[in-house]
Amino acid sequence: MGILNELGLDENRLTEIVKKHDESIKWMYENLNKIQKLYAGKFIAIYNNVIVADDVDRTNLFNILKEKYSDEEIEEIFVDFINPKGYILIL
Amino acid sequence: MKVEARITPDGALIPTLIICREFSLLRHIYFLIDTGSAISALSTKDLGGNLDYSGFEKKSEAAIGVGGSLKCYLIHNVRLLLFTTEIKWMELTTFKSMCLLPPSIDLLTNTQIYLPSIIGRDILGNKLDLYYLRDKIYLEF
Repeated sequence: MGILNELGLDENRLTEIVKKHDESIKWMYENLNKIQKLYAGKFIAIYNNVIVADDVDRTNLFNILKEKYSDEEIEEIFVDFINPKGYILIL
Repeated sequence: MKVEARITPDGALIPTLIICREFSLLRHIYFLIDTGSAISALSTKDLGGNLDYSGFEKKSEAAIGVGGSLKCYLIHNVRLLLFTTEIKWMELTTFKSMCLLPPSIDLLTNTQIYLPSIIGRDILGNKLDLYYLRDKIYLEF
């Protein structure tokens, strides 16, 4: 029995969510140039390789998603913030 | 057990699950592997974005980097679980307090920018070994 099941969480479901998010983050970076032109400074929501919502505020973005999608679908939607173009991370 | 990173233009990201009762937080979050950071930190973009920081405990030290410095805040009792290449979840640690990185302002466009959530040297080379190869980056227990 996995740790998540011990915590009362559905391990298989969380694993499915990671797989969906992995697909979305891969797609996001493959299309980052286009995405940055359109959505810099905003949170975006990606579902099945489509940007389904965007907003400058993450809470507003979730409210938009709640109107369109079920809780289960929202879990599978990957949300990230798009920084402006022309920056590299030097941490 | 291994955790393989997702290699992106921003760096190597590892899939985690964060659990924090203080914020009723249970969320899948990607952390950037950052050997330059002394500590791990959670970006506010992954917590909720625009937050009211008045209720947060302020961390005594600010964070400094190439771009300047940031005031940091603390969240408490954050459990970190990792998703392994064996398709299993493994609890790595509980941070009694974890640094929360607020957004900073891009001085060129005057807009908010966010750093990613980062896994630093409190974990790397401490609780996990880091293998940074040409074609693969992974952490190992």
